[in-house]
Amino acid sequence: MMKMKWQYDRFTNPMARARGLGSLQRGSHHWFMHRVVALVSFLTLIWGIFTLPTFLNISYAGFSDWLANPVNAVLLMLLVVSNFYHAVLNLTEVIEDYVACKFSKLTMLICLRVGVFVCGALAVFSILKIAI
Amino acid sequence: MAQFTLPQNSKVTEGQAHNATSATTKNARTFRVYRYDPDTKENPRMDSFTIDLDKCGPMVLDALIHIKNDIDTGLTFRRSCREGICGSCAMNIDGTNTLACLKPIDEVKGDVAIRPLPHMPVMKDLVPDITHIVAQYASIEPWMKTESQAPARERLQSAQDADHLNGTDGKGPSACILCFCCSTSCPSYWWNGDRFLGPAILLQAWRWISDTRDEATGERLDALEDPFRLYRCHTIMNCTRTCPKGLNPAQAIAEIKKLMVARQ
Amino acid sequence: MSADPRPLSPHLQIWKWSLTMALSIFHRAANIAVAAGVVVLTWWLAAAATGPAAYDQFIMVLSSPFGKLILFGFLAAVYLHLFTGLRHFLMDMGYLLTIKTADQFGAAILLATAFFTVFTWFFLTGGM
Repeated sequence: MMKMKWQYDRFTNPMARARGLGSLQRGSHHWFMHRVVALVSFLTLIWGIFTLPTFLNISYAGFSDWLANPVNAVLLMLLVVSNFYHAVLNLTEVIEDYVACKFSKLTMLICLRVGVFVCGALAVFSILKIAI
Repeated sequence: MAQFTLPQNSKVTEGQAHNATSATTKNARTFRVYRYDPDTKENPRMDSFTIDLDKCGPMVLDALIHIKNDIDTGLTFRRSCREGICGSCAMNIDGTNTLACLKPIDEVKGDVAIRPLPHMPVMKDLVPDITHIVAQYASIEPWMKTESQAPARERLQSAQDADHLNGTDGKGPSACILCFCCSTSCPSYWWNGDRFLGPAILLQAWRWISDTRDEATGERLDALEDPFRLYRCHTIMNCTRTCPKGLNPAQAIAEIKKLMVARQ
Repeated sequence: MSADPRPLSPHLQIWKWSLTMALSIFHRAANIAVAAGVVVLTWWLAAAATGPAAYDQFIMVLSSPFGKLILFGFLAAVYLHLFTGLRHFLMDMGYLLTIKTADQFGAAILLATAFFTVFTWFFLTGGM
């Protein structure tokens, strides 16, 4: 098992510890997609902010009428999907940063993905159900 | 979780107070210094030393040397050149990392708090164990790697290419003295220093990647293509802010990230 | 393995904070808030798909003072994350990487966040 850098053991080989289990040969794709998805998620989010709150004063019928318009439905789906995608990429970084225990880290990364898939599926299904 | 608080054996207690001033002292100043003695089982402590500034030079290092010579000979710290080129006296002064020999006492308001470089294992007093970070430096293979036949004379590069290494203002990556002020200022390095290379090492990696005479650029980028080694950098900018030589590790890391995308 | 005899030197406890360090952690907090907001949006959509009764109930919750506070917080988080995200974009392209420019831009985006949040809130609620 890898040791934290301050853990002292007179038999530890410093170079072996620095090299660890080697380079993972990934990271730049995550980094690049993070930026691309961020752009999409924010464009849709700004659209959503200026559109959605008006429905707080409108009845159920008004909301379903609005969502029956394919443009609105597609944009709303794009908003949900891109923001959940962005959240996965972001929260993965947060978990990798702060969770040191290998087991909890893996568990949290898996739970995050499962949770986002469930929420995303629920949101997309709900939009389709009202829209169609 | 990453441990945001100090472990039990690292909690700092209040230590002894030494007063080396007299009634005639005009220029008194108190230095609060982190002490840890590996021969006892006691936790680290903050000792305070009130000294006469007229009896020592203007820099924090001068005060430390004065304390060691005249008040407490047990005080332990690294120092060598006392002119900011060896990188030995890197420590945390007044909440930020710098070289004690380049830090004027005047710049600090109130008591001067001096601690070892943050989030490092302490061997004694102000001396951190830098074994791991030096091994990380060696792991990026900081030497020129070539396969083509060596020319009869030096390997040449243009003046512009040399500027990438030296900087037009003399503050390029090759001006780094490896004092590790930057790496130990980086929260990402605090939490993930076992795998993240940290600003000092990445600045050095960039120094070799951007060297036009080096033939292993691709290999070097391959070795850095890793979510922990490189991408723990979140441009917090503590590194650039703290560098006592005025270098810019944040910029170097940004250049490496740009190159990672450019080679896709 | 026996316990490590060497103490760990103080870090977060003693570090002198700076604007760029604070912005980095704000960016992170805002990103968690935005993710939570999208989960609330999912709840809204699911309520709408369930039927008029569930929809009205959700709107009632969101129109309460507590719901309004959540909405306002979400709005602030979106703008903050938008601007700090823009800052990250610029830094990734090689700008704002000196302390002076990073600090100036950082102060500017805090002001912009406050302005746009309040402006949008009044635009949407008509002064409430």
